[in-house]
Amino acid sequence: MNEPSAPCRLRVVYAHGPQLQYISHLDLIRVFERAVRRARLPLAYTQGFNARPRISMASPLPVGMAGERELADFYLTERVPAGEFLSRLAPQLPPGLTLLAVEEVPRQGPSLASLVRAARYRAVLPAHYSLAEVQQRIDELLQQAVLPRTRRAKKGRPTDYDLRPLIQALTAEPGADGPVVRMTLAALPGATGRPEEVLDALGYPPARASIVREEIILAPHAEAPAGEAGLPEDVGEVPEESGDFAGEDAP
Amino acid sequence: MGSAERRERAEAPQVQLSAEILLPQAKPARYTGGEWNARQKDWRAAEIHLALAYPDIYDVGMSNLGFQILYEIANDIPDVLCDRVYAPWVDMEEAMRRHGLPLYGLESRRPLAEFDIIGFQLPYELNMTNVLNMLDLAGVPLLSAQRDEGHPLVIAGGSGAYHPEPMADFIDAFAIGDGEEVLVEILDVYRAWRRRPHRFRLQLLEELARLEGVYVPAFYRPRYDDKGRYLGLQPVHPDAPERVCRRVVERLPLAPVRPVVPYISIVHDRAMVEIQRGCTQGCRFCQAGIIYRPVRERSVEEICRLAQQLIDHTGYEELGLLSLSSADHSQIVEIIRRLKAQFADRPLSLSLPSLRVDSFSVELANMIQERRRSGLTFAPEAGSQRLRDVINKKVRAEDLFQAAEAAFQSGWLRIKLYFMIGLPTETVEDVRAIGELVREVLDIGRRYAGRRAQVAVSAATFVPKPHTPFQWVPLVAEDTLAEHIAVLQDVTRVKGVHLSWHAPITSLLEAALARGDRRLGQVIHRAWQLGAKFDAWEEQFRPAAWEQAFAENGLHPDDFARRPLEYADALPWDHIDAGVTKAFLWAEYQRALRGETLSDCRGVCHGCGIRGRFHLMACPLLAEEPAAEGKPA
Ligand code: SF4
Repeated sequence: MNEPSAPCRLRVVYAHGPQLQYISHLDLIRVFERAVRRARLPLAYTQGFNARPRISMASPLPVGMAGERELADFYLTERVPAGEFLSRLAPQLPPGLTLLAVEEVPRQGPSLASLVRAARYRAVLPAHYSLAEVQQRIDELLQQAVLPRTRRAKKGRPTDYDLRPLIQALTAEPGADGPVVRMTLAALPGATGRPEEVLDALGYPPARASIVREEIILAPHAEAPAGEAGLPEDVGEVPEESGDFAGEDAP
Repeated sequence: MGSAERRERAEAPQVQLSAEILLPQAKPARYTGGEWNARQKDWRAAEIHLALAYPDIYDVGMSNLGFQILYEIANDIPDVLCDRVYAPWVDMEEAMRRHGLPLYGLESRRPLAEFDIIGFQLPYELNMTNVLNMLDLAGVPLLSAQRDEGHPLVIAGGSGAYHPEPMADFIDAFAIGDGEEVLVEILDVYRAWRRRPHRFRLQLLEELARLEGVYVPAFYRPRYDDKGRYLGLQPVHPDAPERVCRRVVERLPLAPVRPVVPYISIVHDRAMVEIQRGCTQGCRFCQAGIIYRPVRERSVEEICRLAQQLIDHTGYEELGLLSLSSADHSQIVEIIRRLKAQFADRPLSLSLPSLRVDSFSVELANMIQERRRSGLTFAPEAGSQRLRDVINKKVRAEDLFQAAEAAFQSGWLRIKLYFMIGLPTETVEDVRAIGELVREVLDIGRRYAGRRAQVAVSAATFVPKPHTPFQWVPLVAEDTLAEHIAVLQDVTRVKGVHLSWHAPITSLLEAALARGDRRLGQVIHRAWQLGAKFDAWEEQFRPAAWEQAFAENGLHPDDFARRPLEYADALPWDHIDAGVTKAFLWAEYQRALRGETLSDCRGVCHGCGIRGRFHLMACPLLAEEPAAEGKPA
């Protein structure tokens, strides 16, 4: 809900470093919340018994992954200039979280999560893998019309889906630590490509690769479907990556 | 010389944690450190490397205020590097053993064996095997007698140090009582010892034994009679005092204001201010009520100042006001009013654990919880007035009903009641009386909240603890316990009442470890070899391992847990002087058997011995406050 108590909405671009790659999405929201409180910035809270901080993330970062340009919206109860927000919050963040940019966005606009269209990833494979072979496997994979896969959920039924249409780009290049696979994967509600799944489809064990989310790609504001503007905010939504509160997962 | 060798090893690389090890863990952030306020000190620049160790998982250990206090005190000493380590959960332990990773300090990532001192906090009997498991994972010899100058010094403190004998084989020195000052003294002794050109471990132990409040078990020999009854400890070294008197800090120190803030949610995920240490209620089953005497209140000014710093430095959204009985603080209303005014500009919830059973406590709960009135907890502990008199729990049924009435009337919907089963002199009638109390409370709730009113009953087995008036009492017999639990289930089978009781399966072990002597060291060692660890975690508890361990050593848990004791009997913790006299405890036990109560000693001193033992100016030590001048909340 666009509660009147939050006249200011700031979009924050930040890097989520490897030091923090083992904390869950919900933990990350708490880290931000406490940092904002230490900075004495006027964070808005949801109403109701269980007041939650109004911080919405573009897309939960899977546990074990670093993110170079992550996105979150912070709602404040008073207007704070973007530059001031950045300079006050930055010193309160633990090592591993770095603010890159802050800008004010219209508070009535669509939720950040609803703007996400895709994400770019980079996976570094172990050095003994040959680049030529990686390239060959990529070419073969891209020639497939369909890539039927089964998603193993932590709980609930595994679901069958087609990975192929979710892959928007897939390339390989040499890297200092081993062959680098770059991919752009769709990230839409119910149609989110996962980099581990792509590596697995290529025949590489995902646990051996170090994967970084380079960027989250949003729809240009103008392109946002008109109907979406009034959608309720996904404030503090519980994604499936949250190992912590298993059992409280939102549908 | 061993320690020179260790200096070189200290330059060994840090432990490398790969994704392969961490990713499959339920909460990998338990093992990676780097939290807000965690101290990052230069390993090479530090002269003394201290690893504070907690023998349970991160989630529990991080919630321990004492641990955070000592972490901050030690790190504030410039040449001391203090790191933390918690027991890895079984899946992590398995991965570490498979990959050959030693236990390490969370921040430094150095193997534990490279530290100078490992300091365990011993909160509870059922963590003992975890201490062994952690030493083993660290590659440190388990037995004190097997360690030399090249190994870390292994010390232990916390409430478990008040009955140290079961752990005497594994720990080099125990620190008894308030740890704030004695830890610094231990570090001073260690530093002086390290600077010597020639170092022998024996000298270090001798110097530690000379410190007030430090118990070095190697300097004592236990004696038994031919029937295997414990006769006492004999000091066998000139530096070993007959009795070791616990340490008391007369004025509560100002700490900690920069506690480590976890990334993951833990058991008590909040800022904590200790508003008072000690308790004057005098419940006869309660060890904390004895070993934290005298009551020391913190002043309102100081509480408010600490709270401000804590919240500013942590960003926590909840502040817990900690004490054994919060409503007893002479300035409690003023504390709450001032804190509410002070933090009126931001959402911050206050929490007040351990409320008394009375309507005043409900008023306090109402003050701090204006919106979300879901559940309140009270602990009448026993069902009948007779039995409450025996245990000196000064709660009348009317107090409970008034508290319940006040609670339901002001919008609370759920009341949780704590009881103990297996108390001394308990009969089936006493247990039935629980049912009457519970039904009456539910009826009161129905009057105000209709069907939404709920009563939760939580029952635990009474385990006799050292340094209490009930230290002489045997653990309840198994068949009596079974009978009483059946009665309890029967009398609480009412719609709107939910009963949960603690599985009595670990109570026997807990009682044996609480009341046991040094022979239990071998039992603990063997049980650990047979796979026992995390004994307090029901799904991990291995009764068969313990049974076999006792049997192989020719012992039975009943020898310790259920042996009836007399005043003249030597107790395995007699050499630990908690400040309260044995004569006072015995008199209390006799009063209990006669059903006589003893008033709260805030009104009149009952001569428990604390005041004289520590030459206190006054007891309890109340916060002297100028007349209240707080702003309205
Ligand atoms: S010395 Fe007196 S006032 Fe102090 S704790 Fe003991 S009985 Fe209470």
